[in-house]
Amino acid sequence: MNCPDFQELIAERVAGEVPTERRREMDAHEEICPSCRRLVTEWREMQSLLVASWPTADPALPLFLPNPPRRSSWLQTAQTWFGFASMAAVTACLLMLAILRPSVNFDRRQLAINFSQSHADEEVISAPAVTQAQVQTWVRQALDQSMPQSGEKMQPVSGSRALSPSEEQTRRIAQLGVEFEILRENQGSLWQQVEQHGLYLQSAWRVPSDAPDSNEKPKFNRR
Amino acid sequence: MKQGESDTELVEQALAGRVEAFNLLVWRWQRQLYNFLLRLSGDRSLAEDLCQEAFLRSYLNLRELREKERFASWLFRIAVNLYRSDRRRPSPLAAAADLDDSYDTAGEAHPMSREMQLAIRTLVSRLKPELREVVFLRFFHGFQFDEMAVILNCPVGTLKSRLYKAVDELRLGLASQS
Repeated sequence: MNCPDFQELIAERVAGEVPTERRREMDAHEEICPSCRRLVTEWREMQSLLVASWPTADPALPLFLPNPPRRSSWLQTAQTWFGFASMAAVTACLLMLAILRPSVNFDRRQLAINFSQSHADEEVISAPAVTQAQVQTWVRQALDQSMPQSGEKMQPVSGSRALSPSEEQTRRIAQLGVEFEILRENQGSLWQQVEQHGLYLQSAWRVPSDAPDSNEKPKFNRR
Repeated sequence: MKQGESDTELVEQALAGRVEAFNLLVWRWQRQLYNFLLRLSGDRSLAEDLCQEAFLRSYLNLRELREKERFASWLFRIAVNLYRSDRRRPSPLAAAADLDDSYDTAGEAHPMSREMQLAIRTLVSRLKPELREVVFLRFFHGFQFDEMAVILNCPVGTLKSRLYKAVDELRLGLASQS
């Protein structure tokens, strides 16, 4: 082996990558050639200096690591099912609230939730409409029925003497006052009846004018 | 999974869908790749970014790897291409001046002063980029010439001549300083 052949493989020799047979030839040449021997020494020193000038460092942050697929354990399965069950329970509660719509009354003493009230409200809403004109008609009919009796009471005494105009006027005023009292009494009894039978008149005032015939008997909901 | 499995076996397992195999490849090569990029760039955050990107690309393109036994060469090639195309590259002199006390010098065979470190790094930084790449791959990471040919996409003869030229320049530089 001559010097050019030796120097051609000097990088491999420094790294220890030369095959065995070739290495023996290089060893033999290095024994007899001081310049090639010095060159090998310089390469080795150079490599040592370079490595020492740039020591190895570690990355500050963890590098990319793909997430391995998770293996399901019994705990994970239980957690998953518990989560689904919780969601289903909450959904069912919300549905019940939406369907039943309970009335909630809360004062400082107690909290009251009434489900039956909500049904009553629904029935009220679905009740047939009652107009103001109908109610007035019923009141008038009731008064007509009661008026003959009161009219009998109002009849003047026959066979008595003729009254003067001032007396006639006074009598007329007194008669009107009696009639007014009777009217008020009848109206009061009628309202009492209405309340007793659980009529929700307030809902009736909101109904438009396309109400049914006033002679038709109303269908009220009872409590 | 055994720690002693070869890169080829790990690549095949990763291709079969075992992500843990690729994780092992990352753990095996991350320190080498990070230090290579750190020496090239002198910028720790840049080296970490490029290293991360290189592993990500290698994971996404693992099916394109023909010679599975050359995973490391292929990975370093991706990293070199990323570094060459990155516009954030600092100047070589700045990279040389990045002396950090966090380097672990306890186990080094030749502990040296910071001045000496800086002098050698400055000499390396004055080399042409293609010479520096060869020096780092050969002396620091121990790649053989055929592996370096894959990494740098260059014939072996050219790489050898670059290495000899780099060593000559470094020898002359050290001689002039001493």
